[in-house]
Amino acid sequence: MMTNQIFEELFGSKARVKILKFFFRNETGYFDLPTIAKRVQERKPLVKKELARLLKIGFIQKKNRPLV
Amino acid sequence: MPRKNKKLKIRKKFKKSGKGTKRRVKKALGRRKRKTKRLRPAFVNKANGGGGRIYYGLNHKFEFSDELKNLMLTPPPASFARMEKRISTLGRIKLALVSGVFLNKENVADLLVVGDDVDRRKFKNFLKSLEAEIGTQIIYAIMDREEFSYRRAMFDRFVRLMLEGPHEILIDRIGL
Repeated sequence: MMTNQIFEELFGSKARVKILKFFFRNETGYFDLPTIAKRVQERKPLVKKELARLLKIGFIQKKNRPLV
Repeated sequence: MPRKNKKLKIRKKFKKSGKGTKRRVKKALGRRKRKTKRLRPAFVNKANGGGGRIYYGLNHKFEFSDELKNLMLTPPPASFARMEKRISTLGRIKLALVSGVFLNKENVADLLVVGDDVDRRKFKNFLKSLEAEIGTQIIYAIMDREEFSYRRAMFDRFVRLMLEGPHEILIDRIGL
């Protein structure tokens, strides 16, 4: 079985896996919703929902400016 | 619109009615003022640059950051078998090899495709979905067979680094 498939089943969402990977590959950057949705190739409402979840558990944080 | 102009406009509107114009103009102006006052906050939120944009980034204090990162980035980021299938539909592909992010190694590029009549639009779409899956941008090179042979014959630095560095061959119809 493919690793990606395993992750998707494990985390319960294809979009979530992609978003997690996206943040790990771009560790230092800050991105807005349209950019993230475009880069992970998922719909904005779905990405927004996942971001809210990740924000809630403290995996990501938000800022008003793209740079730290 | 400046207040003076507004006043004039309203006055014109009431001019024909004659009596009590001044009072009615004042009343109308006040009404308008209240209206705009109520509307204003909905327009722009100036506190965050006017765009209301929120930027998301990794929280480095997250307790499982390192463990999760290892788990997600250690295995090869994409299935080579599936990539091979998709690449071979893009045109008459002679050679396809991966390096860099696909193997978690450093190299000048991540993907090298050699082939004739490659459908650029299809290739772009393929790249986009691949980038989404991996989570980062892919550095790639695409060239036709002639260019590849030429570059190989003259020991082109880029091609040499790709062929001699860590790499995995997906398709090889040249006989490397």
